[in-house]
Amino acid sequence: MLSALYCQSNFSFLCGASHPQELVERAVELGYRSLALTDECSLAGIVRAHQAAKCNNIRLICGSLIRLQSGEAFIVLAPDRQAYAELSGFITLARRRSNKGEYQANFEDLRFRLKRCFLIWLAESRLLERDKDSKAMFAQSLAKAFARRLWIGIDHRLLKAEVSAFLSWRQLAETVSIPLLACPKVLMHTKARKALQDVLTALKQRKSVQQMGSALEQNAQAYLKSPEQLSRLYPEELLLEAQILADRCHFSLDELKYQYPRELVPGGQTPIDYLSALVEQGSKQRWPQGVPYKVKQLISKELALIAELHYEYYFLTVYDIVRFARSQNILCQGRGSAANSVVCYCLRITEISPDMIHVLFERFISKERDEAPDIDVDFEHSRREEVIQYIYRKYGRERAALAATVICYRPRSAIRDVGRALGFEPGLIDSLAKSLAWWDRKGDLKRRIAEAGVQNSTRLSALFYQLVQAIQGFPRHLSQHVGGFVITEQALSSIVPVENAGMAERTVIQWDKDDLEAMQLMKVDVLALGMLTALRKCLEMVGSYQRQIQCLEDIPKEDAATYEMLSRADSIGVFQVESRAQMSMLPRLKPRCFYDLVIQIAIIRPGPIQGGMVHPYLKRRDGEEAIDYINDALKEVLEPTLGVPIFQEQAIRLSMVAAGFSGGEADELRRAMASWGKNGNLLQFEQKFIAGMLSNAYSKEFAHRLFEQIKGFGGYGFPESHSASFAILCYFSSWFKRHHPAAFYCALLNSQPMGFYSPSQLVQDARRHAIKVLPADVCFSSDECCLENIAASGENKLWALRLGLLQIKALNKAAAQRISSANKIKTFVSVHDLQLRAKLSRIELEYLASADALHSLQGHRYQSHWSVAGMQPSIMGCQVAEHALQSKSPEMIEDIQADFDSLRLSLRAHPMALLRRMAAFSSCRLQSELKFIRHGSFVQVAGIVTGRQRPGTAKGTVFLTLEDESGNINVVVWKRTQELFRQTLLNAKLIRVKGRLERKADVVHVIAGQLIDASEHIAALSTKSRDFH
Amino acid sequence: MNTHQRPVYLALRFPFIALEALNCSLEQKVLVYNKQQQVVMASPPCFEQGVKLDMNLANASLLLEAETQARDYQAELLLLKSLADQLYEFTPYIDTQHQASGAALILELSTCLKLFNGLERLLEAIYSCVSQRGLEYQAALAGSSEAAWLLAGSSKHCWAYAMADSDALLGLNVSELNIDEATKDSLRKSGFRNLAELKKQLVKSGGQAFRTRWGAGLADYLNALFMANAVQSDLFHRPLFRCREQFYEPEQAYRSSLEFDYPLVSIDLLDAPMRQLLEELGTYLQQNQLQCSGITWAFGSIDQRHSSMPVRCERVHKDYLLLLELSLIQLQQLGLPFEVDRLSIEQADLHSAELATEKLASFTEKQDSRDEQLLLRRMQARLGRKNVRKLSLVDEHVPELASTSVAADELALTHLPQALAEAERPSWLLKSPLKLAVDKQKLFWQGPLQLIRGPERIESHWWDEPCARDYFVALRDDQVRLWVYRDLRQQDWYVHGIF
Repeated sequence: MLSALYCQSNFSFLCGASHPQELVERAVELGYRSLALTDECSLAGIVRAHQAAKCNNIRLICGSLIRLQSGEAFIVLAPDRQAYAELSGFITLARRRSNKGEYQANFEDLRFRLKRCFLIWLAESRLLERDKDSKAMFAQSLAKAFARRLWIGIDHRLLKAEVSAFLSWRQLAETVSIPLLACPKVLMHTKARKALQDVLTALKQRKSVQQMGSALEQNAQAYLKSPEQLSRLYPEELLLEAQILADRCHFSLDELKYQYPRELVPGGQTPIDYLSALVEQGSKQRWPQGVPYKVKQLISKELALIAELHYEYYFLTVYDIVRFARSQNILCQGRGSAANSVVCYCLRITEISPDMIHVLFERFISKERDEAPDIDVDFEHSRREEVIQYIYRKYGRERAALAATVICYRPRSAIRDVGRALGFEPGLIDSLAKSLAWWDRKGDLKRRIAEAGVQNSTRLSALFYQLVQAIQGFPRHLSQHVGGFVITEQALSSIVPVENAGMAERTVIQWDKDDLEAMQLMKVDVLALGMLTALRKCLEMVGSYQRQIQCLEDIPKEDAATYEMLSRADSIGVFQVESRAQMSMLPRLKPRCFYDLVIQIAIIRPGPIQGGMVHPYLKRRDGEEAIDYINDALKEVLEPTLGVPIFQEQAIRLSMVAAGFSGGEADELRRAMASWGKNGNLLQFEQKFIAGMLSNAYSKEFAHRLFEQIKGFGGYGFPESHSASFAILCYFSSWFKRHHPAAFYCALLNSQPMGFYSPSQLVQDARRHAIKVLPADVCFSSDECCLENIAASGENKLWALRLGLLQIKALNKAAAQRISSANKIKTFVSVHDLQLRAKLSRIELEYLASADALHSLQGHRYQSHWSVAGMQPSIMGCQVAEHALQSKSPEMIEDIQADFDSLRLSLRAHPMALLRRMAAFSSCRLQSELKFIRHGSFVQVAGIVTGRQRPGTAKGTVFLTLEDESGNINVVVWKRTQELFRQTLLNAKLIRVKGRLERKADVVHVIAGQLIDASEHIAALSTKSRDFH
Repeated sequence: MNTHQRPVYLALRFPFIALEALNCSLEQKVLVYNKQQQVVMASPPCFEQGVKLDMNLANASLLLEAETQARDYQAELLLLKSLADQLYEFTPYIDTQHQASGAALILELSTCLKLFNGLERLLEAIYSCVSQRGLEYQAALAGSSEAAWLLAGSSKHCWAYAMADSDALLGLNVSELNIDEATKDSLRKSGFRNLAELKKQLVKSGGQAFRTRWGAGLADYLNALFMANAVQSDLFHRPLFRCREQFYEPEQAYRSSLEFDYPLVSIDLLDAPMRQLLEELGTYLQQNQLQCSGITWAFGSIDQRHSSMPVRCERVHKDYLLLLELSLIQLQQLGLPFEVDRLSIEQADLHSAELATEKLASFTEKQDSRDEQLLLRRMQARLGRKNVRKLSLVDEHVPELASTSVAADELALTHLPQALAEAERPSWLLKSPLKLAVDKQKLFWQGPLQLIRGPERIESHWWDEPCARDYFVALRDDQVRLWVYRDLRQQDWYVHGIF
């Protein structure tokens, strides 16, 4: 039986050529007893290795490779829990004192920080005569510092002069009484990965493999060897010593016990008592008329389970964060399965009350799941940083850090890096990477390589393809998670190393969310949601002129006009229902109440679509199909959705009421359904399900049918709780759009980036809603967009939207604020006055001139530029040299182009309105005309590409959105058309489409037959398309 | 030059010089690219198929099948200079421009008009000279170099025989001005699209308006553009003192020759005339503070046959005797091409003399170094430059790739990384490994072999010719140590070197 003590996985970035689990599985195949994962100054891969080791019944030893500044290299192993804490703390120290991705360690760090860890000093080079004395001294220092915790690791990889090296190290070891052991270096689980390992090494040094020379490993020996191979390479006693060392390491990651931060509970109270008190207080606020009995029962049930599973602290931690946010008037809302919890509702973590949806606590927490709860809370994205800083202040950086995200190689990055490493021409690599569409699968890669001119028959091209395939999924580096915080009672670095993130004042742990879930560490997701920022801004604006709307609770519920607007698919800017697919569904579903919105949001998802739920639901809603519930039990579950299962919770509840599953079992079934293609867990549930249904007197045929039906969506369908959380925000945003559109668009513009649509599209939509949009101007604008009263009439003021100075692309916030503040004191009278009082530099004035924001002071932008260019320094500040401009004013197209360059939008004519005069576009119909064209007619349309979408459920169809002066045109591009016009589809900014018009009810599409790239007409225009699955 | 005379500038712009310097035909599809992989020039058929300047090379390659060549900036410069040398016979005032905006020659002709009997005849001669070189060009005449340059860019193969009138400039776009892009952008942002608008502003507000906004550089440039043909003298800021045009300085060329009373039939007889010509060269070098790195002899026969023989040195020097020695050595190697009636030095590679200080004590070292050089040069002269080579190490694992030879006058790698440097390697590596005989699991090569050290495994070059070998040190029965290996792919044994 053997142990491997020096294994580097691909979490030693650009070094190891195997995944941690590959190393573990291969070690098992070869009969190893244990394996030490020793990535360089990192424990990033240790959880994956731990999980693989548990599945395969092999012991995993936690360790790390450390290279000192002096050049010496050590393997540090953790034999027990305390040693592990030392190791994790040591890595934290080394990483935190360096830039991201680097570390610094020296001998004193080892000596003072590692009191229990085992050290293997790697004998990496031959001891030359000149080195012997200094090495001997160093060895003595080591022996003195580490006594019986030190070994010298011998690595035989059939390199030059290994025998003489071994002899000299053995002599040294005898002199200072440090035992030797066999410590073969492992960089890959099998030698077939040598080419990939070389590519990674070349990438690290930013060279091609052909240029690397001896910097590449001399041979492929750094792989996991069989016992027979090792016995030929090492003396028996060295292998034995390695085994003895390994046997002394008994620490397992399972010993890591997470502790919640304790300070949240006031002295003298137990956590559950405190939590219960808070819940009771909250429930009284939520139900001022008295808490309903049913709700009290739910609360008791939830608190009992929380106490039993010891999750009190988790809820208290999240409550504390939410409480802080609310105290600062930061809008926030929990989402996801947490909305199934009445406790969360009482604590104001979520906003879904039990009478809004059919709450199912087991979907959130259950005994059977045996997993820590996961509450995601959305905060206003512009103020999330305040919440983050609160967490850091409260818990300190020692106890709070963000989770990591592992950035892995994907097709494009794989092509670029492998191509570079193989010495391909930069132009070829570039064209190959760009030719990949985001939806191309692995099998398409070979075709793209051939299309790019790389001969598939050459050795190098075959290698290129293989290496690109192999490197995909390999980690490249760690980045910070969007908002997943880990907070602990003890020092976080005693559990997992903490390192510097790329952002200043940010630290991340070396584990990602999957690792945290596996290790059952609490993670609180402090997420950012742009719509919450927009809603708060909207509230502030509306509240300033309509006193009765001061908070979201003041918004009237179930407003018919709002639903009517949504039924017309007038939903650009509205949360969750503004996509092309949602806008196609709205006129068909016609939401009339809050629950309809819950369904609307959930139904345009892969689950219901793939499960074939959408059409039956719509037909039943329209009365075209009869509803049969079989019995009352099923009716109770399915009635809200007219007998068609749409939500994950319905799958769970069906298995409870029809097959007698407990809540926890039912949730396990749902999770098994989610992964039913990957493992065989589902079969055991299926049998139980059928048996349960049969015992409840359902027919076998019906039982199978129902099981198949919910299998299709059980894993993919949307949680009702999550949909409901979103539906609340959807309703609020819709209400604002319907009743306060100027404030609505203004708030959206001030909350960018967010949502589906660009500022340009939002402004277009505002104008289509008869909102007057006024240009950015230093004499009228604030830094942000604001409302401007253009017709006061009692309480019914007419509001226009004035673009803010921050819309100007290059103008920084400080300058915009200075201008706004100075103008509020006294309106500017000249450019000189502006420059002086707002303390603007010449370049800032030029930005303003480019944006035509000096119009009220100087006239058109040519004049503005002329004036700004003529400003001369003087004692009083800059003065304008007085020479009148003789040029004509800009042409419309020049103004539009300059507007887009500077503001990314234009309030003048839409570019298509100008292009339409050209012969190429004269036959193209406006979007507003399409509704009058007969279904099936041939039609030509043209527009700026604003969106490309290829949903996974659409069988390869691409949906293109083109914008013209009257609206957005939906174009459907089938696969064959995609292949014929691939470059145009992928890269064009302006497309002319010839195709056929298709209309279903009020929804109009153009089925593309031909795509013509007309980008040259707007080549100079800065436009951006939103492309996604 | 007479500063009172009205100047006449001829601008010759060479839009395809990047192609012509690479000897590419303009009729073929050729793309010239820079280090950033952008197209800097293309032949006309490429433009017809949609290629644009500054386009990414990969994208351009997708549009059409074309030959691609890396830009050779030096070759363009040399071509331009050689043309300037030729045009020097027409006027001494030549300005060579080789910049981002293109390559051009600006000639000032006012002083040469009489000599060449008028402008038209002079232009005919110039155009004929340029045409003979086979270069595509655009030409224009104007009263200032700036105006001539600008106008030349707007015409397509214009054989300009008359000065452009003042309106010719006005239709030109601001983007064509020979100024930096930021200034052009700033002018466009102020509404100036063409030179007519610029002139209108100039007339109205004077040059000060431009000077204030864009500095004296632009103001002077516009002055020069419009001043040339200006009528109203007080509108423009005429400099008080007109700058003199700079003389063009052609490459210094040295030529000398001797004709004989009777043809010389043997090399020995050439010794004296060669010596004489080289002495004259030596005197010339001394008088002009120059050094020489090589010459080209030209031999002529009675019947007008011609032959050349270049003689090159590693370094520049004034030692004409060295040149004589090298020339005779080379001549003895090559032989006389025919009976020589005329001998000349038709080209000498001249360089300005460097004033170097020397240590007194280094005289011996210097002498040794000189002797070494001479030996090297003699060997190169005898055997050819590329045939005299030296060893250079290569940072490689594969033994036969770990060293190479380079020309003796090139840089060689003399140190390797420590790991490679410490490796046990034979002093003699066989050119090709030789297969060993194996008999009853024993190896033989001119005697039985015993493996005493190893293996050292080398597995590399999977990207072209994969190599997988286990190397051993073997001892033969006569105590000779050999470096042998087993090819892991073919399972055969080879000897590769001898210690």
